[in-house]
Amino acid sequence: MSVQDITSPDSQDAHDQDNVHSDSHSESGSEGEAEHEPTNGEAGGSSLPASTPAASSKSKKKKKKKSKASKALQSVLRGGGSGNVPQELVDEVIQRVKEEHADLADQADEETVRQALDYLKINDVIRGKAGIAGRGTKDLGEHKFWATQPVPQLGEEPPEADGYIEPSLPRDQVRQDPFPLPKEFEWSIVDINVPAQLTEVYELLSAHYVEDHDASFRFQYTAPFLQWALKPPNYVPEWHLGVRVASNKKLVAFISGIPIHLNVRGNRFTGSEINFLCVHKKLRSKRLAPVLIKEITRQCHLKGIFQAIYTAGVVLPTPLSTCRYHHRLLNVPKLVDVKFTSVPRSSTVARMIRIHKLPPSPFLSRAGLREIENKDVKGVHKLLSKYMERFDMRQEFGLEEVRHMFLSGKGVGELKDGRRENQVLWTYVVEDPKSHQITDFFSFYNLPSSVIGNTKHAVVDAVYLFYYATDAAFGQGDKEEVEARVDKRLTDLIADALVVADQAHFDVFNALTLMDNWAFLKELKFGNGDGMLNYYLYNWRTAPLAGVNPIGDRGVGKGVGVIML
Amino acid sequence: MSEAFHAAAAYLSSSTALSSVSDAQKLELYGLFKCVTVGLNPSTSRPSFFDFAGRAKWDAWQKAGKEWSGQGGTSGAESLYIERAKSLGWVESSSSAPRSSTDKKAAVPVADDVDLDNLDDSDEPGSVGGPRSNLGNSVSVLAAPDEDDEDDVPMPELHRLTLSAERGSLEAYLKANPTENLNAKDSFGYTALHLAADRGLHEEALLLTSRGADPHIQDEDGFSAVDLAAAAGHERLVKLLNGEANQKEA
Repeated sequence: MSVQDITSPDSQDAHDQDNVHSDSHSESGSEGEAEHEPTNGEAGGSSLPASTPAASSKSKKKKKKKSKASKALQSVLRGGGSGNVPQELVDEVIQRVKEEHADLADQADEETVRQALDYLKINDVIRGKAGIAGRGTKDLGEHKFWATQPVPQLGEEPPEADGYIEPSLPRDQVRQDPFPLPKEFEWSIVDINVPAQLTEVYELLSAHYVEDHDASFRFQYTAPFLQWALKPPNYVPEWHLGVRVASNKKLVAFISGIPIHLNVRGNRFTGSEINFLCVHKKLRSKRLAPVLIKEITRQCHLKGIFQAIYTAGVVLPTPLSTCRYHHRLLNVPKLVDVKFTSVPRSSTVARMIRIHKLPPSPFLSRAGLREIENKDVKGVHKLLSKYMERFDMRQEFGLEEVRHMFLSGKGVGELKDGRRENQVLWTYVVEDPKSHQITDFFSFYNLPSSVIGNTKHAVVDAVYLFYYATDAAFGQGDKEEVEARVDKRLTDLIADALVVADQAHFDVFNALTLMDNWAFLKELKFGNGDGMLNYYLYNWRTAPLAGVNPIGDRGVGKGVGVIML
Repeated sequence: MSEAFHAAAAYLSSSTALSSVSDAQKLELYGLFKCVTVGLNPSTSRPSFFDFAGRAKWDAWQKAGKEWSGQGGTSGAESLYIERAKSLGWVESSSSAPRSSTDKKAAVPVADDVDLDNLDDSDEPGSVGGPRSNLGNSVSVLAAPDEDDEDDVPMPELHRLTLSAERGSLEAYLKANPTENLNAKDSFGYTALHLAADRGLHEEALLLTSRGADPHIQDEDGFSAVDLAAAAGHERLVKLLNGEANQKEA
């Protein structure tokens, strides 16, 4: 969607029912797995705490610093006239440079910093008149749409207590009519069980979905992938929401949600995982995206779901965590050819091939590494559930969800060159040869990107690291010993994931700085990507989570245990 | 450099057209301008972290150079520059006077123009809307390495011109410097022919071998130019180089 699209002011926002307090007793739209029963049907209000937005006098060092920065910002915002960079902001920058870039500290004298900030037109950036180098950053001041939504606003202090922003509503107080669309369009629930309709979604996304900043690559979701991603156990058909041209019924926009059980710093609730928001390129001035978001929100409310999680490459109000993409080259000549990577002056393609060469078979084969089977689902469920406790925000899985996520994507027929027909997900487990327990597992999914305007190569065939777990995290020893053991084991495990992907002739293996990935990214020769992924929660406040940067004693990635598709 | 280019540049530097243009677009124009007037690679080293303006310009130049090396070279950059100037109100052949603002507005696609009965899926450059703002996953490629360290040792002119892939510039240089040692290695142990073979630069590789560059010299990994071309999958270049190599031996 375009900047204008999502940030458009809109007279009719979703706050018709603002400030209506009531106990939620709406119908449950999600599954009844035992371990989630407490949250079912009362996703917000009655059982969950309300958040307390402002920071209190609990003045940790971090908060003090934050509040100084935000004061500086506030003073810029109030400052009115252009030009003058406030002293507080200059001081803050000098302080940060000294802390975070010791090598540059001697260059960071006051005049230089002032000039630099002035040049950057930081005032304009803060007010939203300009983006930062037009990249990854949305115009902060134009978030009029998001200002009407129950999300933490930019510049807000971390909350004193976690909780919802707006209370949940009983079903009869949820808006009953769909939000109005411009007259030439109409709503359409897309039935992805009908092959023709699934194809429509697939074709819309193929031509109009997310591209990189140069418009050189665009995600190429496949029909089997969408089948797998959009139909987890207890999926809600109404959450596959489309917009059609009224006259010819052409599908021109789409948004989806699937139920997800979340645990955010000890608070457990069922939310909706929002994904695949896509508007036809030629219609991005029609302001369809805000309406899509409001309508899917209404559809969630109708099912008693009042929280959501979503991700975006761009900065919206307000990221809970930011993770950075990392890429591990597999097919070097092709990736150079399509300009996915360049050859540094100090190297050659031949040298890069040698550096990235992988062994022909997995290292852990003798230790019991093999593809997942139906009989492993229980073991994987148990292992994963326990392992995920390591992360501050995490997905919680029911048994059937594990079966769906890690088994149902494996395609049909025999493995041929490492792949089956319609395979979208690869899951491997390590079964201890003596105890026959599942001790480790890893998974990755296949999501190609089309190479825009390249005649030689149509796609970059990428795989993305998905969930994994190891029982090395549970054994004896103090924290340091355990962490060292986890790091070592994960490095071996994901090294084998690379081998499996390489044997299946994928071009590149991608991973984000979330979960325990930081333990092995460098060791396994993942390089920094230029893309960031921001995590957002809808109608839930919590302090920022450790992603690409550590926060306090929480290391890189340890805040984020949710992987989106 | 065409007359049209000069006229377009004059228009952009004098008119008020640029006042409504974002910094990102200005940087793009700057990068293209430098590619056309100076060359596909910045001739200086990258400015310091705190020289924001200089650094941004340098990066824009290098980015444009990378984009146009191998696909149209300076002439490609030139036509894009002219195209951009036109979209900002410059009119070819006529004066350098900016068009009236109403004309400019007419060039901006208006939402109501969209023909809903004939929506196509084409990838138009500069089509309406930001391409990467969707909620969902985000596309990423490998970030360019920080090349500051590599700039410490300047690249020999022969290597620089080979990699720049500017039509004619390497040939002109070789003509002007007939005694140049074509087998000289850069600070990383590569001859100019190694680089041409590795990056798949056919014309440059042929030019160098035809003037006596030795295709058998090995780099620090023990690879000859032919080995590098083969490893990188430049099959036609391998054949060409093998042909050259055989001729020399004969």
